[in-house]
Amino acid sequence: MALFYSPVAYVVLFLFMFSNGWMFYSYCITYARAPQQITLVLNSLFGFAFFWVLPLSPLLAMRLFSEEKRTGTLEMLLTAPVRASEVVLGKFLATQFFYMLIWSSLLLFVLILEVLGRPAGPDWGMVKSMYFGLFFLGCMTNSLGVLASSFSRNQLVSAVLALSGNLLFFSIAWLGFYYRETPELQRIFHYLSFQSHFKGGYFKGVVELRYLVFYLGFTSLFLYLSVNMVSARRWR
Amino acid sequence: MPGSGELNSLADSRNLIEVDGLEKSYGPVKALRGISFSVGEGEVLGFLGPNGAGKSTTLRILSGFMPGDSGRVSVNGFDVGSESLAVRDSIGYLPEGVPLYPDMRVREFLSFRSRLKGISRSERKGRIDNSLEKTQTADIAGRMIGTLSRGYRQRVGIADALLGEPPVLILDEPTVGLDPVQVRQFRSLLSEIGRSRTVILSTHILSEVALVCSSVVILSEGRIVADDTVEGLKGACGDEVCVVAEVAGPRQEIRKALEAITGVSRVEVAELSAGKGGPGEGGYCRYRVFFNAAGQNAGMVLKAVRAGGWELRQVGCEELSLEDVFLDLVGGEK
Repeated sequence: MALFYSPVAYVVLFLFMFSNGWMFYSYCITYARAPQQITLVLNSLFGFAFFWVLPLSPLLAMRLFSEEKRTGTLEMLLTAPVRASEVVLGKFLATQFFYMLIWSSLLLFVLILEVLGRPAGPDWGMVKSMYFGLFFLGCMTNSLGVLASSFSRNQLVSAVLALSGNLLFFSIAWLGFYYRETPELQRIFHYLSFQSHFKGGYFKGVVELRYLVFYLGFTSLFLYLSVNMVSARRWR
Repeated sequence: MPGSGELNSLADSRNLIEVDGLEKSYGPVKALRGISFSVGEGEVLGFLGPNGAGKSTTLRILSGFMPGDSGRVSVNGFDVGSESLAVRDSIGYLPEGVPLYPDMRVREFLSFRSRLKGISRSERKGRIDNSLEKTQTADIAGRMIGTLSRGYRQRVGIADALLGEPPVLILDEPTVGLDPVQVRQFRSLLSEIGRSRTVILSTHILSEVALVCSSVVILSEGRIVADDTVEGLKGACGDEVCVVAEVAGPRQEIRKALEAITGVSRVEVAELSAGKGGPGEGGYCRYRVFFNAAGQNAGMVLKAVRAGGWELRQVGCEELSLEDVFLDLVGGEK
C-alpha cells in the first residue's frame, strides 16, 4: 500500500513511460516506410523496453523493508498480530501489482498501433505471451527485490543487491555462449537464462509452460528466505 | 517475585504481565541480567531507569518484537515466545520515537492498522472514531502524519495502540520530546486510559511517574533495584531524613565531619554564590545530609557543625523527592 504513497514509484513510472514513448515515436518514424511496419515497431518497442527488466524490480522493491527498518516502522508492523509471512507476501504482491501496472502502460502504444494501423493490426498473440512471460519473470525479480530489501536498512544497498542478483541471472546467458560447443550444456543454459525464454518463446507468441517451474521455484525460494530474514529477529 | 504493586489492585489480583528471570545480551553486552517483576490487572507501572538500563529492551521483549535469551515472560496469560500472535493481539504497543508513516493521513493510517489488527470491517469505523475521540485527534483526522507536531503524532500513536481495545498498553518513553503543555495533556490522557487498562510505561522523567503511576520498577544496568508502589518508595524516606545546612568553612573538613555522623548514607555539597568570605574555602556551601532513617537528624547535624566551630547560616529538613530516591538507588550517576 505504501508503494503508492511513495514518490519513487511515480518517478519510475514516469521514466518508464517517457523512455518507451520516446522510443515508440522513434521507431514509428524509422520504420514508416518499411514493410510490415507494425510488427517491426512493436518488436523493437518491446525489445527496447526489455532493458527495464533489470532495474525495475530493484527500484520498486528497495524501500520495502529498508525504509521500515530505518524509520522504525518495522517495529510497529511486527508488533501487530500479523505473521511475518503475511507481511512478506503483502509487500511482494503490492510490488508485483505495481510492476504489472507499469508494464501495462506499454499497452497504450499497442492500442495506438491497433487504432492507426487498420486494417492490419499488431500481433495480439505476441503481446499476450510477452505479458505472460513478464508476469512470471516479475515474480522472480520482485521476490528477489523483497529479499534484498530485508537485508539492509539502506535502500541503495538493497537496490544494488537486487540489481546484482538480476545481473547474475542475466549473465547465465553469456555463460551459455561460452559453452556453445557443448549441445547438452546448451539445453541447460537455455532453460536457465530468461533471455532465451523470451527470445525463443514469449517474444514470438509461443507460451512455454515448462519455464514456470524455473520462475516459480526461485520465487518461492526468495520469498521463503525473506520470511526467514524478517522473523530471524524472533529467534536470534 | 510478585510485585508489591499487587497491594494496590482491587479484588482481582490477576497478573497481566509476568516476567521471571529474563536475560538478554546483545553480543558481549549483557543488557538484562535476570530480571523478575509482575504487573497486576489495572495497574499503571512506571518503568524507570537511566539510559541504557534495559528499559526499551524489556518492553520490546514484552511486545514480542525480539526474544529474550532466557527466562519466562507472559502477557495476558500467553507466553511471548511460543504464543507471540496471541500476545500481540492483547497489547497496544507504542515504540520509542513514535514511528509512523509520514505519507499517510491519520484516518488512513488508523484504518490500515485496524486491518492489521484483524478488526472486522463493520467494527472498524466505530473503533477508529472511538480512538480519535479518546485522544482528541478527531480534528486532525484528515491531515498527513508528516505534517503533525510531535505532540499530535504521539497522540495518533496512542490512538493506534487503543484500536484493538487491548487489555495491556506498553508505552516506551512516550513523553520524550513533548513540551510541558503536551506532557500535561498526555498525563491526563494516560490517567483516563489507565482507569480501564493495565499500562506499563517507561520513562526517565521521575515527576511523571509520581503523578501517573501506581507502582514503580527501577532498572539499573540490567538489574531491578526497586519494585514498589510510589508511596512505598517515598514513604521509605519521610521528612527529617534529609537535612540541609548552609555552612561556611573548609569544605573537605565539614564534609568529613558530616559523613561521620551515625546514620548518614551520603552528603551532597553545592556551592553557593559568593558569601561574606567569597566562594570556595571560607564561603558558604549548602550541604544536604541524607540519613538512612528518620530521627533526631537535624540535631545531630547542628551538633557536628558546632563541634567543628564553623559558621552555620541555615538549617532545615527537606522531604525527599523521587529523584533523590532514584539517584540513591541508581548510584548517583546521571
